[in-house]
Amino acid sequence: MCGIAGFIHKSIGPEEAKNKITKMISIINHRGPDDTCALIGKNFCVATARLAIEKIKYGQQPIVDDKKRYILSFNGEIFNYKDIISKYSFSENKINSEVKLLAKLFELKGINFIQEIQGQFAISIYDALADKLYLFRDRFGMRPVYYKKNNKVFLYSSEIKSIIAFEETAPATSLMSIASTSLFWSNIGNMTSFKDIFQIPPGNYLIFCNDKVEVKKYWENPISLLNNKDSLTNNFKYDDFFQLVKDAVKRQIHGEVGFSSYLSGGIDSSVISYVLTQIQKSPIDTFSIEFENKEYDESKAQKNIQKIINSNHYSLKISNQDIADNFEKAITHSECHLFRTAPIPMFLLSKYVREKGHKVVFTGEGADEILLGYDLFGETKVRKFWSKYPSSKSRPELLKKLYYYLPQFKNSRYFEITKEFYKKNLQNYDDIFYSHQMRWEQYVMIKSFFNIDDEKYEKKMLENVLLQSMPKNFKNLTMIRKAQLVEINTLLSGYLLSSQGDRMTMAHGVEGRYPYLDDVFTNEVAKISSNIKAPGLKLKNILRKTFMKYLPKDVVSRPKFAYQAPEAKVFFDNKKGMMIIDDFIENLPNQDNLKIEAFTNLIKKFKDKNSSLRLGFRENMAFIIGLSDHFLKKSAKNWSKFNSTNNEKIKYVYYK
Amino acid sequence: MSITSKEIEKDLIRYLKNGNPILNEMKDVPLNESLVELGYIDSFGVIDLVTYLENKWKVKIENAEITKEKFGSISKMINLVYSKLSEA
Repeated sequence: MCGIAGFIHKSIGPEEAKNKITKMISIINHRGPDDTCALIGKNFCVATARLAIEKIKYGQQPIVDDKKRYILSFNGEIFNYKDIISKYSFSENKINSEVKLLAKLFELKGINFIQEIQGQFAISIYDALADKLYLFRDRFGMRPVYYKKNNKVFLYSSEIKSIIAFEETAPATSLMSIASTSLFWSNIGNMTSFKDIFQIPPGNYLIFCNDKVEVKKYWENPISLLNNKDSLTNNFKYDDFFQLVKDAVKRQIHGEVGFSSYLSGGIDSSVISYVLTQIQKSPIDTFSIEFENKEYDESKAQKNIQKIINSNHYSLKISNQDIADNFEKAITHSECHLFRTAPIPMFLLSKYVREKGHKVVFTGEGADEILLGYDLFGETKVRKFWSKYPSSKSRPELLKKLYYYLPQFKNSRYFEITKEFYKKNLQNYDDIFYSHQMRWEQYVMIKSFFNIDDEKYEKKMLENVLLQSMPKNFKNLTMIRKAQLVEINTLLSGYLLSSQGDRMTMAHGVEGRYPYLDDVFTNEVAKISSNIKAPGLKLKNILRKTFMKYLPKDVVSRPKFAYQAPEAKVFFDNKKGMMIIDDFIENLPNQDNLKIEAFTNLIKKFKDKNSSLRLGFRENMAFIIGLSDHFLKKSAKNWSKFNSTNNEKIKYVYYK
Repeated sequence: MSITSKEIEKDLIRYLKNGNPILNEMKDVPLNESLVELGYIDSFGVIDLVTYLENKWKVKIENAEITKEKFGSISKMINLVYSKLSEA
């Protein structure tokens, strides 16, 4: 895993080019502290900060191919690296690294080479002969690529800060990003949180040639290709599914530096840790977050599974103040508007993983989307069921089963009113996004905290943008498959794999592995009927039933407890947090995206000693988005002034 | 009994307005409609409101009172708190 950065230009002299590429790569050095190399050419410069994991001895980057035509730089892992070598009978002596394999395969197959590659990656290929740049991003968006084109240059990098360091000007934060984060909980499509800076959407590639940018999709999610009824439903074998999971984990044990695993206490990471232990045949290292605030803590469940797999377990206890203290730092890595504080503990956990000597950590992201684990899938079913008989007393009771861990459900006294909230638009089946109605209903309120009154920020407009990124047959899919695709295209790629994933692990040079998003696994699982994955309200039943044989009942049957962290109040119950708030208030007059009165009042409410520990969901969201906007602006200013002083570690190569 | 229902109303509306820019900009806050149905509070917001009223006015709101019938609008909340204060 690495950081890559580069640019195409016409008029920059060699000395300036060297300075620029040095800035771009040095500012993302945390992604690849092992070695850094920059290639400087007449029109094109590229650099890689490498985190050596596979073929440590031979994997130096960037590389120029034998014929001196292609220059490649790559961030990620190709899990079927060895299969491709044997498929094409390449010489293992010559093709002794993943990046060399990519060069050979691209030479052989052109753009279609991407169809053969399984893994998590961002790949940059410059064709010096045609003066053409290709950038590829993996299917789910585990590895990032950002870009910007201005009058003089085309810039790209694994992180936005390189682009800002190059330009030496801080861009404005994007109102569209605030709108999108308020509605979908993440940026969507090619948008980022900064104006005029874009990302390549997952499963897409970009070509830059003749001063033109072209972005194309190379992959369609198999969930849309295979609808709900298929042959696997009738003769489904749980043992086969066990093998699928095991193979996915096995494929991702890739590299020469060992691995560790997160252990959240839920079934997803428990299964991964169990399978890893079986494969390794000895205890593995596992890492968990504990919260001082018991409402969020899962340590009991974590200890349960730890005892079973007998792992060397490391647990990090997080206080409210830890979250407040590290919020700004985490924003400098997430580089986007956050809507909740949950990435901050993950930021601290990856630091712990690195301190314990690990560069690789397995994690359970994707299981909820791929195997139907989210409450939202259950909520969709309950609402549809309830809608047939809206006055029913018992049907809404099913919501209690789903959201047992939320205070408004845990304490039965709130249920009578809470259910009114879920009752809205029950019969609105015509809405193509029926599954997300309740969540998106909040938008009107959240948006009222920001200066996003323009028509283009209206819910319908943003939904249309999302719809455009969906597969052509989206409308014909079942409600549940639609919901899966919405989750994958919004929260999973834009937040869980990004702000809470890659950016938090790579902040400390740790690479995440996501077996539930393995290419072979997701293809196979898409063929399985939703009724096997989650019959009725038995969410993720496929995984639970399969592992019933191997893990104790309390681990397998533990209902989903969504990972959350204490929210906005962490800034109001300790000194450091209050200092952040004072600074935020002082800066409010300069916050052009925020409605000043709305935020001043909101802060009063958070400070009110009679308010509850949590306050409303939307109030928390609006506050976190607003505070992250403040820190994004501050970060962008710092990046624009970035000056690298530590260049002696960088190896420079000049080519003609 | 020194607290009037007008005082409870004023305080509650101020509290609600602090967390809700849409309500804040309204001249006439809807007193008799359900805040949940209008979309002005979310499900966490219900807990916050109950907690706030209990803390602020030192009253105990019973489980059976957190219903649409008794707690479903600003007026109903005011009446509920006021009646408790009057009993005290």
